[in-house]
Amino acid sequence: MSACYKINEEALSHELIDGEVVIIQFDTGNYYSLSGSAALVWQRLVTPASVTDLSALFSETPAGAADELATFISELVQEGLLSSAASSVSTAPASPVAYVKPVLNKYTDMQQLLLADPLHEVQEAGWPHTKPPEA
Amino acid sequence: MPSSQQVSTALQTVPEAFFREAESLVRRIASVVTPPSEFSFSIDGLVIRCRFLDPDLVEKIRPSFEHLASTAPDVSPDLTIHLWSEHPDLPAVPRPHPLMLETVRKHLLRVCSDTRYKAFDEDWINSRTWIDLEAGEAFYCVRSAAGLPYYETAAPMRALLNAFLNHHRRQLVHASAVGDSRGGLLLVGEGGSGKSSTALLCLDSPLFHLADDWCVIAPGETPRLASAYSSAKLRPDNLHRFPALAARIHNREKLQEEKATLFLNRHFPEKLLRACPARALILPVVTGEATTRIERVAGTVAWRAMVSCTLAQIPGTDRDSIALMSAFSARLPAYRLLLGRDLAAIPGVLSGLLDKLTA
Repeated sequence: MSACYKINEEALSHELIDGEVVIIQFDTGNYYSLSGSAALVWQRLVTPASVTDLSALFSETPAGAADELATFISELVQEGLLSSAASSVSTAPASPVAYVKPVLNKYTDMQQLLLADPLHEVQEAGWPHTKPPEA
Repeated sequence: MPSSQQVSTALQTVPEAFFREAESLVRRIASVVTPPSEFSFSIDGLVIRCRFLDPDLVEKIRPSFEHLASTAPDVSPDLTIHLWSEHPDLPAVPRPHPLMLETVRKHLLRVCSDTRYKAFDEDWINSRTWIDLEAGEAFYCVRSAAGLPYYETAAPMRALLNAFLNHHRRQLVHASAVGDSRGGLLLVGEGGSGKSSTALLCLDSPLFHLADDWCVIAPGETPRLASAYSSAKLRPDNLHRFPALAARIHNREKLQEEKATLFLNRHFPEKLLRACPARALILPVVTGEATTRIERVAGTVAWRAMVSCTLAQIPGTDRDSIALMSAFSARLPAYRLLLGRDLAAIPGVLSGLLDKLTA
């Protein structure tokens, strides 16, 4: 039986915007975008799925596609976006589409905003000093 | 420590205890000051009542909300805010214990906050706020009314209001907005991108002004935009483009240190829109070209602009805020507005887009 995966909902916010999936990982402050086949795979993972389930999304998988898909899943796990699931949950079959290598785009430029405290610097009790006006 | 070991729940009592301290203080202050004045307003159907325990705060807080004044004073408010400022003759505001400040993030006192209670300590404006989201009660205390900076008077109580709005599936975002009966366009982007100028140009056009700098968004089947503040701000070096506004600037004598601030409700009440369906996200960009154009852009580009500016400027924003902004963006197309030199033509370009989107 192939391994099954589910979206790590507790650590994420994700949304399909204009055909592109945007994922924010709150533990790391990274965010990610997925389009095309990567977005399709992600949307299937909204319910737990195995690699076999994910392969079934594509009409024809060229040599090496299974490895590419496994690598993609492994990246998603490594980034804390997926976790193991006990079993897959079947979904209504969709019309398979042509396979294109799925790509995970990773961005770190909002880490400061998501993790750090850009507004607060004063650590003393009591009324602190007024900071300069906002940008 | 084994992960299965029970973690103490003692800290869970802190948020309510800190709120009750503030509540007790408010009751004592209310018993010694003259009867408070009240003012109610409504943001996207949510009624908010301000009880001013310090009359000096009325002129600092009320102007920005006057366009939303509630005409049905008997309606039970969704949120009651008690406002006061420190005074030597009044009991002192509870000061956070130093340990409470060790976990502060984005001005939210995290150890004093949970899903029901939020407490903020905003050192940059010398304010301290508490809110009980379930009871719909909040306290807003400032060190002195006279010391409130102009950007707080222009857009008061952002942290508190955003916590309240989040509880009601809405989000305050750093953006401007214009529109009419066809719907509204949300202008997103960093400072200097042309949001405020674009929104103010619409005052002299058939389009209406909905928000400058801060706008309320509500995701849903039909996403909505709503006004929170009637203020508008302009950099002094941008004022020459708006000669008709020069005489209406609220802080004319302080333009060396402050942005020019206007309360639009006082001068253009007929041009203000309170709420409307959202039709698109717009990213203005100053090009220096002769004409203004508009082009489609990936929705994630506008999403990123809205999220990053909002997270940077609204205290207490968290994953709920991001989820609301993402859900809002998911339902709307995004465009880049390439601003040309012919300023008078800009509202027409936006109106043309609304035509296209609602055809």
